[in-house]
Amino acid sequence: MSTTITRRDPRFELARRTHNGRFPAPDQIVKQVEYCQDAQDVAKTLQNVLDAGMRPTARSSGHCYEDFIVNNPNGAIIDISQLSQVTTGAGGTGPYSVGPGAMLGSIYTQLYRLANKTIPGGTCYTVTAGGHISGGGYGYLARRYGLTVDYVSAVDIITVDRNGRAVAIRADKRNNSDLLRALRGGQGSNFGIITAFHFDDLPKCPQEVLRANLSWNWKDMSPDKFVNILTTYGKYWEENDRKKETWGMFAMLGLMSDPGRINLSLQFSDLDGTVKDTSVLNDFLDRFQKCKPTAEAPTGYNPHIEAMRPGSGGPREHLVGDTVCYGEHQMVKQNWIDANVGEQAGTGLILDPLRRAKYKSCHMKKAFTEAEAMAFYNMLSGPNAKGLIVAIDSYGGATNNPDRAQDTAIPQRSSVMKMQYQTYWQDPKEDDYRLKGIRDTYTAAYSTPVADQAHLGVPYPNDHYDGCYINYPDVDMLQHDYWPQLYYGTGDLYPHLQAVKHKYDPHNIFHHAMSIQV
Amino acid sequence: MSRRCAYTRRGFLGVIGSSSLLGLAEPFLSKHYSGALSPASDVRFAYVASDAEDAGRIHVFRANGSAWKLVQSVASESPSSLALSADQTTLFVANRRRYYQGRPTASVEAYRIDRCSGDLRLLSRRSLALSAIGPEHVAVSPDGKYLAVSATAGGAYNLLPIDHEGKLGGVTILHKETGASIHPEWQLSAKPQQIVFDGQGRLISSDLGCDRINVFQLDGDSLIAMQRTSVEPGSGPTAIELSSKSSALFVGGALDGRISAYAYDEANGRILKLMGSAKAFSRSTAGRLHAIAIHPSGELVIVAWSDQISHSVTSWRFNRKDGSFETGGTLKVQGATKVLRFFPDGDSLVAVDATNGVISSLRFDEASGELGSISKLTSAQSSSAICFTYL
Repeated sequence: MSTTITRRDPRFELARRTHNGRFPAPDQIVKQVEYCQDAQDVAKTLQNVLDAGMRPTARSSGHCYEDFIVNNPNGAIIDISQLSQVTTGAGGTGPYSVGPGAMLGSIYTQLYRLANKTIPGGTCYTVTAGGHISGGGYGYLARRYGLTVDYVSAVDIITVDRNGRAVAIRADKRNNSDLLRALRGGQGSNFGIITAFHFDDLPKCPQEVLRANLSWNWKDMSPDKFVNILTTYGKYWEENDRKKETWGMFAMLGLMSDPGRINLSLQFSDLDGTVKDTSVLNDFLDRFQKCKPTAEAPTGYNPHIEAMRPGSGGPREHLVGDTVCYGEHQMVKQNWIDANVGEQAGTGLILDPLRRAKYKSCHMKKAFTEAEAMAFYNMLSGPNAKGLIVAIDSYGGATNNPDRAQDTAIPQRSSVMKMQYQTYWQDPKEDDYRLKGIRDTYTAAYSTPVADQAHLGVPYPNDHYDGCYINYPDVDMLQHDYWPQLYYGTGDLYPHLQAVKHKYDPHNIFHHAMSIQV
Repeated sequence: MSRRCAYTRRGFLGVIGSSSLLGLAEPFLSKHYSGALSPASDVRFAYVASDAEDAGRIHVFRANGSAWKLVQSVASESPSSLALSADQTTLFVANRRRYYQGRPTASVEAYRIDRCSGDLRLLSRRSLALSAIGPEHVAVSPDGKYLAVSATAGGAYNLLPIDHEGKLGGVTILHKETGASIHPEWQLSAKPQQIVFDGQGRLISSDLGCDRINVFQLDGDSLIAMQRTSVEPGSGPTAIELSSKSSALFVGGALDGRISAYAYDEANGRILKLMGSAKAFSRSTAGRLHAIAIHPSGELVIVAWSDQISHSVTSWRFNRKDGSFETGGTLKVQGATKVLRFFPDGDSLVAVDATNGVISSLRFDEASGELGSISKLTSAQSSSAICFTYL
């Protein structure tokens, strides 16, 4: 039986939150939050909510970038964070199961302990499987192994049938295979409430990684230098997308607006999971030696420590000049699980009600052009986008298997970089400035000659861009009637998702601003 | 200082608007047209929702006997239903849209009515709740505090508060419906249709998709389902009218043409029993019932319907004692009737033909139950709803 948190409950203030302080608006707050403990709980609670005429929204961790869960006036949040089981077969063999409330950090840890396996999942410890996997499941190991949804073999989900009854069903290759495809990237929040993900097998956890970090100072930045950094970075991923020996490398180039730093952090291991051969990593880092003159490292500087600093990417005033030029590439070797879980933790409780945020995204098929790089330079160096971060992740490799576009709901199978625009602030008075900054930067970036000239201002799929990532949803895109094509491509996927939506959620119970429209 | 007009308001409201059509065949018009026929001499202004695809509008007509004069036309996105405040100072409009401000929802509007000129001035436009798309009907609660919206395509009811100026607040009450019935095309999900309030402020609604009549009670920030009455499977209840005179709830089935009368206990908010029913057409003809109108006596029901061959308006006399319906006559008309409603005196009805955009009055003889002569009042393309202010 679920635990009901009503508005009178002292826990309600925390229970109703999301990780984004912008949401919900005062008139959008739910009536109650229902904490469920297992799948049967979810089904019963969902039925009760439906019978009361309330709108249910499902929350596994509250990391949704928009208000899709908490904007539910007088409705009910069905919280499934307690469904956090991680199980394996006997002796750590498959199949493997993960509950939607399992935090990624916990999944990594438990699969490592029990099976020396992993999911190629995300980068944030407290993000949970429910939203993360059903929207694609991209992370550190995506170039090496592909997306997490590429490994999902079955999903348990509570849907609502045409008679309004909550029913538990399993979607796998034999039963409800159309729904399985939809749940492999099409977001569970469109179709029902997921209670478990199943994997026949999972990839091996890498044994170790080499980590490195570089950064540049805006004080020494010039347009040419900025363009050089971006084009060098992008060109590497475009040129090496099909070279398997590079698939063990994950990198993130973080462009922070002036006066922040531009930070490049990466981790690498060979395809056998060790780091015996560093030639790939050295080759990548060598490409950034073009930025001269050389600066001198401050006493005691260790780039790895800088990379590990919590919130790395933020302003670090003690750094001088460009760390890329401090001399020999400095790397640190760590156990993979230690490197990616060891310094993260969290309860999963949403304890920071003040942080306000806005996000956008883009998939890129090719390297940055000079015009694109200059668009970023102009915005990030100017006064109109302070606090903006543009994180450019490596992508491609194993994700770019075109066959998987047919049995998953992730159509971006030829991208080499994935960009995430982020801006964070606390004072609501900054809302307009912050939102304008990120919007104007985004518009400028996709208004160059390589953008689809009929869809300027957005990365509409063409030979240069591949749209957006649905797990980084952005309601600004709703102004375009073609927004589904931005997230789900121009092929047969969106019609498939519409058909599945119509079939499995005939009452459109599970909806939000960017849910599948029938 | 408010302006004064040279008329006396009676505080009567006449609201019409739902989901059907009326067309008057030109031959029929020429045969029966009776010249200057006053449909209801007390009508002062008529507000007509025109749901044309290219340009939705609210037309304002000054009524002067049989000659209606257009005095204003206001742009409004896909207006589907109109409702007046009890004091006739505010007009509420449902916008039958699927997206509003980029989101999958619809909107409703409130307009201030100029008592002298009849002109409309937008007071507020509000989004409905997410997924509350395709609203087909609005109604004002008896206390004037809420606008109730039937979001047909979204399968939900939304209630918005009305402030003392007539402005709408954001949706405070949302009720999502589920269910289905037997029709393979029309009854795959809930499809709330029309809403009426009883004298105690309870909300009674029809649901075409679920074959249900619902009685809801407002309870704080919730709409509590007090009673759900299943009707004949496949009937698709759409039009409902509550007659306090006969303590009867009349329900028109869109899909099977059935007119049903239920005893309604207003004191307790209960639909007691089915008293009787009749069918305007056979289901095998694949006809559609579009609208019903209840005579002020509560004993006569006018039904607009179509089948594959023709469009018709039929009158029935309802006998509350034995629940029987006795037909009083049928008029063949050109188009389907969108709106059908008696004027207060019961001697005539207004009928709206959305197909041809003709708005007409029909003479009605209470004693015989016969529909008589027709008078064209005006025309408005793709009319979907109409309401009046009175002297």
